[in-house]
Amino acid sequence: MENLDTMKEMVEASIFEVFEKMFYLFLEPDGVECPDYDAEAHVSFSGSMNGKLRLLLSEKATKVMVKNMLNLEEGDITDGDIEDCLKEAVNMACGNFLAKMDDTGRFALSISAFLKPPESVLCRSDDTISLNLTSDDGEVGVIMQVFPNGT
Amino acid sequence: MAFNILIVDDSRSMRSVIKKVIYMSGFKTDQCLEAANGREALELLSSHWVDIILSDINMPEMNGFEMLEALRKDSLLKSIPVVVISTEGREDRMREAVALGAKSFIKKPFLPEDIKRVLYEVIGVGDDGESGYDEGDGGSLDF
Repeated sequence: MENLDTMKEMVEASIFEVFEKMFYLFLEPDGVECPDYDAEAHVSFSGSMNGKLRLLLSEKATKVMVKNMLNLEEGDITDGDIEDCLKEAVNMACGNFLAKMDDTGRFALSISAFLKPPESVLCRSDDTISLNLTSDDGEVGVIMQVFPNGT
Repeated sequence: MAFNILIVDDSRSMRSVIKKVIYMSGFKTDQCLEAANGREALELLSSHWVDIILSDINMPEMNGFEMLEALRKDSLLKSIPVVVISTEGREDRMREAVALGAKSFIKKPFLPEDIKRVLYEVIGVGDDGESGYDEGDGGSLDF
């Protein structure tokens, strides 16, 4: 398995690509740890490695994503739009990451899930990648846990 | 000539984006139908004819591969070209999709130009809007 630093770079590149192409949100590394997030979407994967990718978003980032993706006015955005967009975002980010990690490997992705408010953000451990990203349009947190095969 | 298109994706947002890209591309459409999974798509296809299907893979109830298999077994529906639009952009998954009859593969995240290019390639429509589509000659991918 790749080391966590390499994986962190690939997670970051995958997130940047998805957010730029699909949501027109241009993120930068921030360094601010665990700001208040409004919602979460996560997806699990299994294959040559197993894990879970969580995306955490501030309210501002969420609204801008939905607005940009669906071309809606802010007042027209529904809870269903938010849930759907965030689930699709984490699904794309995870698929993109896995393709970068192992283009020949076989992975299964779970159906993505949405949580508002998010689960606890604090989960530092040796098998966790954590990114705090920012933009003019709000904050995005990324937490990826990688589990040993067979768990 | 205008075409009937079926978009199969469990994400309503993604269906909406794909639909918008198709309209903005100038691709001539008559009906743009939507289904949330393979089962819904097959139900729609029992009463509607479409010229092309754009489908995700990872969906609940019936995924894209299962839908491709079902289409391949149907003597009438197997002639409809299917383009897979999925996050699963690994080469083995593309090969699997092509083996099951997919004509092309677009990886999410995509640019609007990606969908436009593949639509025109697969259905064989020139810039003049004239259909050059010939059944069985829809811009197959070679791996």
